[in-house]
Amino acid sequence: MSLLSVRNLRIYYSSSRGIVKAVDGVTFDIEREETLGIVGESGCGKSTLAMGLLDILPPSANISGEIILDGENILEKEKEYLRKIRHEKVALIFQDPMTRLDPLMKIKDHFLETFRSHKRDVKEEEALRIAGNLMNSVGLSPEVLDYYPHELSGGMRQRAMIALALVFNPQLLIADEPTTSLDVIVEAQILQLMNKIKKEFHMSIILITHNLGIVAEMADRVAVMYAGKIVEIGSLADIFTRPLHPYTRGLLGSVITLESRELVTMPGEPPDLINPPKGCRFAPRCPYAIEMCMNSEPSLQEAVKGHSVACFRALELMEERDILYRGDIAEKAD
Amino acid sequence: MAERKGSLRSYILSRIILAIPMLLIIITFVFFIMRVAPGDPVAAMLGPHAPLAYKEKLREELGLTLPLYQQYLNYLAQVFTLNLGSSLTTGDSVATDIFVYYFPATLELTIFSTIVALGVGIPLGKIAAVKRDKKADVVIRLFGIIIYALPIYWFGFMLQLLFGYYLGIFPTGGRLSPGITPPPHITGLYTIDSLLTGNISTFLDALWHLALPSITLGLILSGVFIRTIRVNMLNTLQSDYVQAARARGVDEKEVINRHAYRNALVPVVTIMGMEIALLFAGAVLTETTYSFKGMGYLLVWSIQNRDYTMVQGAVIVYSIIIILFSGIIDIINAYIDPRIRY
Ligand SMILES: Nc1ncnc2c1ncn2[C@@H]1O[C@H](COP(=O)(O)OP(=O)(O)OP(=O)(O)O)[C@@H](O)[C@H]1O
Ligand code: SF4
Ligand SMILES: [Mg+2]
Repeated sequence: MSLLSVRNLRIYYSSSRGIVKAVDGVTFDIEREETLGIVGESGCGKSTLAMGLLDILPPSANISGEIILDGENILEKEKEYLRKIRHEKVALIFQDPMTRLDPLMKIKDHFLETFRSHKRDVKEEEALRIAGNLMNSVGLSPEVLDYYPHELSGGMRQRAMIALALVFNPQLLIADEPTTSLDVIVEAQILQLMNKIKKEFHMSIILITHNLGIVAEMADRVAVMYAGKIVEIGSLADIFTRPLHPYTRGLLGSVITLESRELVTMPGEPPDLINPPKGCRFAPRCPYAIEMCMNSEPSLQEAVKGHSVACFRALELMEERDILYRGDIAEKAD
Repeated sequence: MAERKGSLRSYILSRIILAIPMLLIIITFVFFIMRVAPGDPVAAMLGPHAPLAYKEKLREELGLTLPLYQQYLNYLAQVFTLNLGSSLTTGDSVATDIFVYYFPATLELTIFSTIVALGVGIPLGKIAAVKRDKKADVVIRLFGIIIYALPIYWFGFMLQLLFGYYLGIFPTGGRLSPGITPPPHITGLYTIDSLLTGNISTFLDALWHLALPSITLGLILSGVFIRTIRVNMLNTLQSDYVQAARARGVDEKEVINRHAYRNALVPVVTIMGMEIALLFAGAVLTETTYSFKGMGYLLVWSIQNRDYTMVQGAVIVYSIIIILFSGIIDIINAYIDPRIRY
């Protein structure tokens, strides 16, 4: 049984402009001790998905579908059960460590509060001892516990956030663009740290990013998101060497042509999530679009074992052998 | 750290330097307004039927026969030697009257009003934010807007009428009941002095007299706190650290109280700074309504009796106090809010 199975998850925001279908029928599984990379352009619903998995969405959001963690659909559970799951089983770290810690609280108070919320019987000294050990494992001195957030650099804060995420040894760590706000050197250090703790703590990781380089380095499997949907999901090698969806190919193409690993050069704009195109959401930008694509929506289907894609023409495209080949990544992945 | 202190010092210095021309303008303004306004201090002092010669003599003694510019210069010289003169009506030292008697009364009123304003405004603002757009929020917001817009005079009068005359729960005016002697002067604040000397019944009587004026002024000021706390808390409730706390499975009550509420309180000092002038101005009106013998009462009384020196003294002291208080609040603020500090 998978650690986490997400089935047909929909998250719609009601806004003054209309209903924003930020996550629209997302389905995927994540196995134990596996890293799943989720990539997609800005605004495609990645953070919404991350928040949805912990059910910490703002009140304007409406969530439906199934989130099955360890065999239980958490969306059917009462509030208190959900609250306990957060951080004990699934921990979340965010893009902007600068604003994620309460400016009026010392780092150690964040730990103490977390213990108080979940394990009342743990004494303060014991909690601080655990916190100190975790600080060591993320490469910070336990003295940092006595600092206020504004006294730490961005990298230190993200390390502190990671240490905080580890207190109850969660089974799943969701990292929403954990290094986007950090410089490249710190980014590399944080990624290395995440790989280290993943092994040490036997965790699964969902790594959300728009940086393909990071995905290539970190992920075992990759899901590609476009306009609120997963359009392709498969192993790292599948996605990087045998991409099936025209969007994925476009992303990889832009990597190669620009030698930049950011997803910036795809022509056209992602669709409006309030009024998405009727058929395939990628159709307006898709070089392979045919009549059918404008009228009906392709569903995510397994094309090859373990490799699913939502495109009517995926199999046709698979025949074409002009597909991009990223030798270095393929070697590493295979 | 050194840098912070340095910038704080220059901040304080600039505040002081800015205050000087401000004071000068106020002093000048008061002087000429009092001279231009109709009414004769000598007539007010001696009554309408005093002999003319006697009046002239007094006028000369008081320096009121000198040319206006001469009077003005004398007055400035006096002010700068920190001599506020003596009252034209009672002959008492203006400074003593103000500092021993009237200012402590006002200070007492403003302190209690602030307590009421915070005590009502902060919890209501918090409830409104947590119950955003629900019935409680709508009611509280409406209350905040209406209370802020009410004229103090009218509101004070209504409370006086209802609780003083009609229900008779609270006294309608004064600082102490007749027959109760004021506590020995230590700070001039009756509540504090009576407590310091262990006189509980005087303390309770002083508190009882403070109730209506403080509630009047405090409720009016609470409108601003309601609004600001509500807005601040709506922001902090949506802040990243609040969301992160929720993601850590922190109990929603703790999320609200520990993270959202505490952070929303930080700007309260700023609002208090902005409210200082309103507070003291409100005190003038409230004191008149309740014959509460503070600075406002003194000011109105002295104007009515053409007591030039007393009016001038009161205005000068009042201005200095307001400037001082808002300065102190600004500095406290600069100290706790790093965004101002740097
Ligand atoms: N509270 C909200 N109310 C209405 N719409 C929202 C809200 N939050 C997000 N959205 C919309 O939902 C969509 C998905 O947003 P989300 O933040 O999940 O994207 P993302 O993939 O994380 O983007 P980024 O890479 O920029 O972080 C966007 O179109 C966004 O405008
Ligand atoms: S379904 Fe059609 S439009 Fe959509 S990606 Fe495939 S080919 Fe392009
Ligand atoms: Mg995001």
